Amino acid sequence: MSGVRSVLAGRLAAVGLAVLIALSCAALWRSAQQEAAAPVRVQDVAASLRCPDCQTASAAESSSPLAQAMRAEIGRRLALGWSADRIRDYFQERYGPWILRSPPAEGLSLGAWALPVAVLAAGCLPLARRLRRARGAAATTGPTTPAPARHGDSTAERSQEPENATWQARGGARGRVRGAGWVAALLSLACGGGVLAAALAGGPSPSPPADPARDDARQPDAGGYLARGRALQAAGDAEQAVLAFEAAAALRPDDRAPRYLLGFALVKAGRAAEAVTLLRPLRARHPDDPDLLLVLGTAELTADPPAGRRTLARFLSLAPEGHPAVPEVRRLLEGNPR
Amino acid sequence: MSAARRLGWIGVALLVPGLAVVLAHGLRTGEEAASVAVARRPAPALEGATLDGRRVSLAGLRGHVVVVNVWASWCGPCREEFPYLVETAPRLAARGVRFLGLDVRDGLEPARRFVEEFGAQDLPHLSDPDGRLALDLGAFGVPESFLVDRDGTIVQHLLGPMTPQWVERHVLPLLDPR
Amino acid sequence: MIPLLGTLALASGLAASATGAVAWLRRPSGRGPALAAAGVLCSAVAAFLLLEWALITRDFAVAFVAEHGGRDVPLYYTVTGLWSAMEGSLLLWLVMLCGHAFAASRRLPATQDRPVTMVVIMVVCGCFFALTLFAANPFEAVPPPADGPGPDPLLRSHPFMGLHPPLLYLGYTGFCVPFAHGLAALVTGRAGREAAEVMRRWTLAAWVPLTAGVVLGAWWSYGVLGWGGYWEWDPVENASIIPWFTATALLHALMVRRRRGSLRAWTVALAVATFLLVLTGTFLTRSGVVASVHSFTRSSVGPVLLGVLVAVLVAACGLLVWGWDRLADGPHRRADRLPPLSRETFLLAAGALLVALAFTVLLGTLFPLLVQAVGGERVSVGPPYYDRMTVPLALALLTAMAVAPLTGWRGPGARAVARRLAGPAALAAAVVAALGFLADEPPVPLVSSGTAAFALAAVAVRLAGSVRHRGAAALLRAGGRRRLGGLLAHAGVALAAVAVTASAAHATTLQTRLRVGQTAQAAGYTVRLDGVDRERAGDEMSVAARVTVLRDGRAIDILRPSLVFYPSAGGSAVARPAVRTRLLTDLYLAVSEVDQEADEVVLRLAVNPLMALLWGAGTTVALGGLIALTGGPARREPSGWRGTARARIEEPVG
Repeated sequence: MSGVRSVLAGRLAAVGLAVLIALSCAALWRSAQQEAAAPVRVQDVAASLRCPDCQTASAAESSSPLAQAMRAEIGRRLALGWSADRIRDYFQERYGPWILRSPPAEGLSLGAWALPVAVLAAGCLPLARRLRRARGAAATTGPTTPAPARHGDSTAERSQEPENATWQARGGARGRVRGAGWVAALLSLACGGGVLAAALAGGPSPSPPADPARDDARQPDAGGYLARGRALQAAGDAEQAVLAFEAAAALRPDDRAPRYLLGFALVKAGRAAEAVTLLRPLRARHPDDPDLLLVLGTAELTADPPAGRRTLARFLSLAPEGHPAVPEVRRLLEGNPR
Repeated sequence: MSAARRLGWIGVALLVPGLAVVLAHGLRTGEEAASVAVARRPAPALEGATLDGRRVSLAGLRGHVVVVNVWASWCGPCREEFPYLVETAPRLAARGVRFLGLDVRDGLEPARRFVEEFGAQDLPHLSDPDGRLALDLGAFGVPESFLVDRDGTIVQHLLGPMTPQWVERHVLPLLDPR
Repeated sequence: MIPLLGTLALASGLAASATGAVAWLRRPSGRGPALAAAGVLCSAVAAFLLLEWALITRDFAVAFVAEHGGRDVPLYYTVTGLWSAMEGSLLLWLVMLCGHAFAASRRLPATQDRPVTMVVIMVVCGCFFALTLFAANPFEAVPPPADGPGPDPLLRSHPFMGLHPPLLYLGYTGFCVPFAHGLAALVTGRAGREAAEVMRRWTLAAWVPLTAGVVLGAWWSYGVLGWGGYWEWDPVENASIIPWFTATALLHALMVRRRRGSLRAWTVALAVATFLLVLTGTFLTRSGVVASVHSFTRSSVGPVLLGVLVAVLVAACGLLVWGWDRLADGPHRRADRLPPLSRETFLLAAGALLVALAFTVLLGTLFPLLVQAVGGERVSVGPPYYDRMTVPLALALLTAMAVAPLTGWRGPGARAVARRLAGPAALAAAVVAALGFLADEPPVPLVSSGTAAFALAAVAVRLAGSVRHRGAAALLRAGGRRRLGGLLAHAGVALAAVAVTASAAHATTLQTRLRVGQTAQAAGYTVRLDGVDRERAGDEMSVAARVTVLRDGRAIDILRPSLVFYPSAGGSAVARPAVRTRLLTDLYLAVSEVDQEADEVVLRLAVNPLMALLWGAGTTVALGGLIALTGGPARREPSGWRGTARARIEEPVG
């Protein structure tokens, strides 16, 4: 009685499962249809393209001028009825494959798509072979009863066996010596390879960038210019640092920090007067910014000492507790009471 | 040793030095330093209104060597390069080089002020407020210069401000010997 | 004083490693080797503490402090400042590595391969001591500046800075032990059951912190980088996930090896490959070869690191070639019948998938370099590529992960397996049907959600079976903790899949320029800019946008995303996002530009679903590993687990 009931329940469950799976397939089919019919969105196309004037961002997420231009252009061309692929081709013609955020499936870049598949296939090949063998064997020995003796405890014994046997077979004086020779040869090869690679990587570059002007002139963004300026200043090249900070200041007109750095660099380069002209207009707008006062005061100290001392005194009165420059400035003002 | 195994080892023997060479090469050049070299390609028509309201197109300059300079009034390095540009353009014009400015994503007023500030009103500057022309040209940013030969092919693409070296190395060889 | 002492500590570490290598080779049984291992650890710890001391006391005569310390940096970020740059992070790496070396010298069983293992570990330690001492010595003496710039702005704005790098490094360096143990197996030819157990334990001990490190890394970039996402397939992120894939494959291959005695050569190869990938990743991200959002360190250490990497690569691959045949499965084992529905089949498939994943990510990271080296046109490999390649692999992996625990080693027969899978399959189908018809999801999220539901249900079925058969208490005993830990980790992975699917498909982002008083709307939230506050604290200047969050017209929260600038460090201002985390959704606000005159900000607004679940799931995975680590050797149970009343399995499911 219970047997009949459980068979019935099993049948019911199987039918239920079949219905659910059929439903899920229908849902998938419907959603694939909907996706195919959905209009292409600007965001989707932009996300597959790099922004020309940023470092790594996509055209969809960046707010740089050309990324905005790209989104507008993608929208315009989509409205003209272009397909996403045609738009990508348009940009690739102009910027090369670099503009695509996933490499094109052609030429050399085909490797990026094909090699992982090849590796997966190579990994599955032995598995497939053994499975095929299993099916062949199953056909002769019957369905789900593999010979237990092959897998049970005898497996454990066999897996222990090489611990001693192989070592002994290979061991002994001759085996060891041969091994030692091998290992020594390998180690020297390894060291040689390492030194060679380091030398290859560290040597002077034989192929300078295509255009020497490019390296100096082109930096990715204001942050890049600032970093470059600081590095140059640290290296003592104040003139070049001035150029870098100027670029940074121009790129970030709303940010005063690059101007301060520029001011310092100008003072270091012996162009304190220029620093004063640069910074005085800022003071009119931000009379209470201690950092501005510090830079301006330092510059004025060379160009216009009385004004400089006034500015620095104001800096001392406004500087927050523990400002790193306070002791230095105090010493400067007290030690030089002219 | 099976054939597959041997193949595997040959693979390892090739892969290790290969990886070492790739990494060493990468270390020497650095990704950013690598040139974004663009192969020679036909220049776009680049048609539009100039800052002073005339219509100009790059296609109309076919037969001349053209230097297209991409700039904007909000761009600092453009400020650095403009004096050189203004000084060089007439000299090159005398030898048949046409100059075309492309003002990208800029307001008309600031752009006009910028041009006046440097005395560059005599040169034609296409106005490209939405950046469409710059993208059509393949610009990565500002300032940049493109050299177009007489057949309307882009032969050089300079990233960064124009320099005398660049003009000497790439523009002058395209001109008739004097 | 500290420059001298620190350099001495590094030199003594190098000497101790060299002595240790010789001692382990010559007289492994004496006291010398143990002493040398202790000496190595002491040197590394001394160097680490000296640099910390110099940072805390702001001893600017030490080069590292002059370059990365600062007077006004808070204590916490002064301490974490040690690993905010190349030279210091090498010290952290050394401490972790030497800690593992010391632990290995104490805990490895005294078998024939212990000396070889220890020699390899000592040589690796020596390499890194030499690298630090000669190419990246943080202790160089410099004329002291008045103040330093402080650590990189991005590396001093999130408390995870104190957790994420140490955990990651703990994991990275931990793989040195399985690596050395694998090389020892190749040299001595010993790779029995006991060796498999040793390798499992040490691999797991590294896998747990690596997992935690990867999760915290994603969390950290979510909280700091300000784009609203947590994983961008950036080279630094890739460098941490690649060894995770191979280490996971190794852990599962070791199960097969323990059970069947097969795959000895492959497990050794995976153990060796994992550490080699750690070294490659370290090289890629520390040398500046590939541009990355997080490459904070570029230095002259590149060529030397490459030299070390290539030397280790050549030596390890050479040993693999040389010793492979001794460990390889004999022809009788390769000819073994493999029942299609056995656990081994699915473990092998999962291994192949994990290796393919690791390879794909590695290839993607190196591909631009590769193309450049052979002189091709420049190409980019970005998230679209990785998504397209890894999602199918990950879904297949999820399926294998769900099915494997429900099968037995001998293959319980198709009917029994089908019976166990019926429940999960029904749930998956129901989820797909419901989401497809009611929520109009696109196909990829549909398939992902279905697979994740399938995997979750499969874990539940397995757990229920275990509890029904042996009782809940048995799972907490030493023998059961492995199983419990494994299942917990699987549950965590399935939950993470749910969270990743949801956040990828349903995140709403919006970038907008707001004036004070203006509002913006996204996904049911309204945000209103109430003001822009400028603040100065210590050495940092910040501009914070005061934003009121409204829902249905009611104010529910006030968030203060800001831009922070460090005048002493210069550089660009960094965004400090504000995140409102709730169980189901996160509201994420970041400021990307502030116009101070006009009181106008550019605000990036993201509403991300299920982020809390993602972090919870990641923690669960690591926790599962930890529980499995505490488990003793699996006991053989007398009778099998009965999945259902009628399907009896011939052999216990291990």
